[in-house]
Amino acid sequence: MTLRSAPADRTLHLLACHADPAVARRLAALGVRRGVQLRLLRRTAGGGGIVLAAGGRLALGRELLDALEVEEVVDDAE
Amino acid sequence: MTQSDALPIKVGSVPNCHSPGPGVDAGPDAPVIALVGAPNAGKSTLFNALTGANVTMGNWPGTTVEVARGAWRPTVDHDCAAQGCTCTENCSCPATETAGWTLLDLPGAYSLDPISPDEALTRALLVDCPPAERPDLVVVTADAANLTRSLYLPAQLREHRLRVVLALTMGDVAAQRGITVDTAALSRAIGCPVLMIDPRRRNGMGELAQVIADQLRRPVPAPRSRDLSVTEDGAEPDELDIDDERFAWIEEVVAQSTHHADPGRRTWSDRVDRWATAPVIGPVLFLLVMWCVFQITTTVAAPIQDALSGLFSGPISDGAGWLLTQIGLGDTWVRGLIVDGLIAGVGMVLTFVPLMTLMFVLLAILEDSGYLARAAVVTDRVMRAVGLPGRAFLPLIVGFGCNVPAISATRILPDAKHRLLTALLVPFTSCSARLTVYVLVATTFFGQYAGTVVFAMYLISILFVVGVGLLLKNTVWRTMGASPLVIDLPAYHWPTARITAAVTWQRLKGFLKTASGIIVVAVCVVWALQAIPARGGADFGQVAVEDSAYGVAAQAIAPVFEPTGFGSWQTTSALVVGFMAKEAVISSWAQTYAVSDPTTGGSAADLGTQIIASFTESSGGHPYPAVWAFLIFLLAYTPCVATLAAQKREIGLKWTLFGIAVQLSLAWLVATAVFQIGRVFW
Repeated sequence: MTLRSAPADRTLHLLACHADPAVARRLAALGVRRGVQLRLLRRTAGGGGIVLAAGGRLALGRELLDALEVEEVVDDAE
Repeated sequence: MTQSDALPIKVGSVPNCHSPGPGVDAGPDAPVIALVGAPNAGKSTLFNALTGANVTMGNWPGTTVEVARGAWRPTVDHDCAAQGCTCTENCSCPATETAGWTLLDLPGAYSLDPISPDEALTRALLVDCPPAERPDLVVVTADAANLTRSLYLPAQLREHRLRVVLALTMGDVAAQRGITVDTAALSRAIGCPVLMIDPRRRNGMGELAQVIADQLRRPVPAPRSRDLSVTEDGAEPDELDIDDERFAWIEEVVAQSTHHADPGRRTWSDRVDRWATAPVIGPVLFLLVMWCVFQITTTVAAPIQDALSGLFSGPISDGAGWLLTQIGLGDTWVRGLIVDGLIAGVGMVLTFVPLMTLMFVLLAILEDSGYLARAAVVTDRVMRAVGLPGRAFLPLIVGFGCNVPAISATRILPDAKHRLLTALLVPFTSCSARLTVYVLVATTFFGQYAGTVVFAMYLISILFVVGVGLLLKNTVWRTMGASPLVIDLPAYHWPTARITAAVTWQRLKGFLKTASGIIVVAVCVVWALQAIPARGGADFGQVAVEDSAYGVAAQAIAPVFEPTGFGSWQTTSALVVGFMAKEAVISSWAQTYAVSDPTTGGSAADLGTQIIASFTESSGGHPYPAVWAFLIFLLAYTPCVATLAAQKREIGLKWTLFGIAVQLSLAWLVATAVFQIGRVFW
């Protein structure tokens, strides 16, 4: 699923970033890169969202949320 | 986002760090220390703390990137060996000495892979030039609360031959989030000195100076070793492999030096953002904040302005008149030039300083508190509708203070077309100079509703920005897209008075430097035109305003404004003066009506009475639609000369002239429509 359709406040695993290469590199520098865990904290005005990644909060637009492919991390204890 | 036109700057095309430059430095042979770091990491706060007022700002030669340069002279331990002392035991050398270093505050950068002209210059000055031309030392500010992300730039810097010192900031935010950083372990892991500082409270400055002094006495360290072995299939490592190695190194470093008690804990900022960025409440809150800003500006600044203008129109003007009388020039045109020209001009500039200072203070508070980043998120969708990224909101909001620095602020946009479009839209943001005219006119015609009228003007200003943006996007730049929204949200914190004052002073100084000379000249030119007799045979300086060169020219232009309802020559001439400086509109109005200037202590009621009569006559008995038409024309017709000069510097003469043509046409058309439709109902 894309980050845009992912449930809020759940731990997610970033599978792929389908954004423009320059944008993808900038996201990687900000801690959003393939293989990391992140969390969609809340949705914002305009259809974007605030993402918790690498300890920081990033506001991402709707187009970027659509470009990030994620899966929910299932807790082994469950 | 397409590959930017701000790709790495060609080596040798710009001066290096050691090249002599204009302004303040510590001397031609002083070591050069570059401050780098991501935005919101406290880099500029640190720079201001270290250099104080000993700083100049200007474009780096050959670029449009603004770099601050300053001198830092800290006290550090005396090192006999480094100083070449031939000391014996128990030498008499002083224990400390005063160092002298030139500091460069380079533009904020998340990495050395540039996507804007600012980041391209940072890369060019740090790593693309030969080692001998690089700074003697680089201080990297990094956010201790976001260490994983913050270490990307230091990781890249450690891959080159550079002396690097890592200065961790936001230690208080890290502590609130349950994050502890072992600076000694971090230093061992990344191979350079690390220390925790607080530039907002100026803690750790002495320690930083000593660390830098110690590093400067040592040879440049070797770059960090990297495990970039050939991949399994025998291919050379590519960019992805390099990035993977870099991130693996960062994760290892963070694991060795950081402990996070509760990674998922919600912070105070998270709780506030629940409302500040919400889909419905966020925009409402944003409008409320802006309304408060402008209400404060109109109600608090006015009495301060009155007091200041009284000083110039009273004691200062009277004193000058007395002096001129003593030397026999009291009844000559010289008195008019000095009192009504120079003193009135300088007085006008200084009278508006309280208003602009208040606006800059409020903007600085919003910026320092962290709220402006949230406002950029909330307004992103609206900006995107006109083809601009959310970040374009920042220059536009600065434009509500003053258009001149707002034009310069367009440099934060990586794409040239976005910078151009934003620079063309900035003049439609209603600057604080126009505010003075709004307040006078709104108070005169609308009394107790003046504040709401002024607020309405700012909403109309926003509509103009959006409308013109859509028009240009769908005509001139049909294929232009917008960069996706990526904003690093800083933690909220209480603004500090020192930082607010420093930022306010810098912006105010910029305005005074660029606009004050033009305004004084404009007032003198208006005085001169009003003194030159065009008909009637009066002597120079003795002619009635309507018979002067100024009056005759204004009367010739006035018929153009008959459809707008304010086609009197007095109003037309004030708008002509407004082309030079919006602050001069009220003064020139007073001059044409031959009443005391309310901006220099005269009665606003006197001028108000004249204006009401003039609008009633020119509108054929429909003054209120004519007033709205006038206010809208004033908002949209053209910025002041200082703003045009800034535009020419950023976007060139051709586009500046294009902007003037668009503004004049649009202002006249909309004002005419407002009056012609409004007079039917009002």
